[in-house]
Amino acid sequence: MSISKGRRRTATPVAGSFFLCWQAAYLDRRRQSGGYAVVELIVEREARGQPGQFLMARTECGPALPRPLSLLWAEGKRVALLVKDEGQLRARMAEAPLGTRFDVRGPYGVPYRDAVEHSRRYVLVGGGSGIAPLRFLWQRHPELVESVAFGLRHTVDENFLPDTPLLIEELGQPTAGDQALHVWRPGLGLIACGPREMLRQLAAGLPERKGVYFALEERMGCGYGACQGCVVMTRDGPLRLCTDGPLVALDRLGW
Amino acid sequence: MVDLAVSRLGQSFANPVLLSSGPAGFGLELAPLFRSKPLGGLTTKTVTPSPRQGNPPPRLVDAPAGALNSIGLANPGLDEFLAQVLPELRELPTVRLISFAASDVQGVEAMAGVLGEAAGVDVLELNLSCPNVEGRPPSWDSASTRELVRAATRATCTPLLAKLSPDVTDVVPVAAAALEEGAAGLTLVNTVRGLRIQRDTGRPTLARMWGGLSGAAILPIALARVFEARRAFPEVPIVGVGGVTDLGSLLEMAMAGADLVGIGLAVMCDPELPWRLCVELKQWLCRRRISRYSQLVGCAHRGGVDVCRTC
Repeated sequence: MSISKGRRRTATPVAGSFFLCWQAAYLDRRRQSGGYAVVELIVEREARGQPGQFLMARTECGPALPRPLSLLWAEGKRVALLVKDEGQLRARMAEAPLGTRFDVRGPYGVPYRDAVEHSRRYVLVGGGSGIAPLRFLWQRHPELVESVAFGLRHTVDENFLPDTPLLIEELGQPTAGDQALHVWRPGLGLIACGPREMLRQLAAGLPERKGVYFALEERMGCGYGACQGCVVMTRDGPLRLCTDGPLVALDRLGW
Repeated sequence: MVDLAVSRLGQSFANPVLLSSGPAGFGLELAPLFRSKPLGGLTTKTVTPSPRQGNPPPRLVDAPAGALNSIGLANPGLDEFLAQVLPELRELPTVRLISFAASDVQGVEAMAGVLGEAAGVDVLELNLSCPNVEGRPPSWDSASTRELVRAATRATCTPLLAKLSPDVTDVVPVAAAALEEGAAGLTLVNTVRGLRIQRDTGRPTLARMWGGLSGAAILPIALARVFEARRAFPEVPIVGVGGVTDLGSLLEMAMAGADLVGIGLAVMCDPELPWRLCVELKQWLCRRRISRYSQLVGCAHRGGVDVCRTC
């Protein structure tokens, strides 16, 4: 493995504040296919991320607000992310040469396992880069998972996400959401992460609200709960996705 | 040896760097940083008489060299702030500037009275300029500013900063109104009213349409307002806020006339930045053989940085 150091120096972190400090993350491996990339980063300190948690990431080139990126997996000082090659940061992750430096901090967010009831098993529904946290959950906590339905808009190579069934959602064909609604039955739960349109369709198609959780997305500011930029309105009032989410129980959403 | 300390508003600030109101919330998430290294001060999110949920999402959107926010003064309200937040704030080893706002004279007077008496409130900042709530920001005109500042200073002896909007042709008459009514100093500036439109739908991006622009994009605007106010009021304490994202912009803000410099959007991105800026500022002053930060303040009005140097 060869790592070329970036130009920016990392400030010495203040004791007890790792959660708030940027750390260097070097692009080490990448697989690309169908407009998506699995990027593996080597970070300076162990990430200790759980399924459903995310890192805030940035580059020297901007944008001004860092971006939250869900973990596809985390092992020691190696983390993987699933990104679509659009937007300033994601496109750079998908295109920059290996060894390129990014900055990350975190992990943030409530791990999915801590956000859901453990008395039931779940159908996992992922769309696009929303597959990342669900695949991580499936690998880490298979006892919680009844079945998975993961969909992408474009065909990808067979080994893009090994051991992961992927549905290519071509026009007029069933989607991951359709598949999930087909296998769901009373007593099961459902956890979904993906485009808002997919979540809305699931909400409309599910006869029950109990045990259903959606990972929501809003433009995030700080990531650590201070700025209230990523709030969603629920029946119980505003909820910060960065510290109280990203998973929200459907019965709180009023959809 | 370089001295960063600032004695203004009846307080001893360890250094001139403050967290400005909003992006850092009530500062409690940053407690580990406050406990490790000194920072001049913490300005809280604006507290209002009653709890406010804030504006519907989306509340944030990127802008060139900055971001547009429409948080809408989300806060737990005065009672909850006093009972739950302030006791924790008192534990932080820094100067506490409590931002507050109310929609009418009676509300401002009542809040100033209660907050001014509360233990742990070092300075009050009256937010007259939020662009993300109903109605016109009061500091868009001198008369409203005068009325609200008068109400606040009638109710408390705690030093009061008037936080003004940059969205005026001339900030000096508005600032003069605030100072004539007893404001101890000025916070310049709040965010700049702005708009973004989603190109694929043709609709405004933020749910409430308008937002407040912050970040590097507004530095020149904030500098102009601070410079104008410093020229008009040479002795008045000024907190300069707007677009400070690195040492260079902090220096410019000080040179324009800011006794204290607030960091806003940049702390959302980089929580450690304010503390790092203190170190960098000290090093810069040392290299320039300027022994006190206060010598730098307003040097743009006095012939530049050369007149600050002490041998």
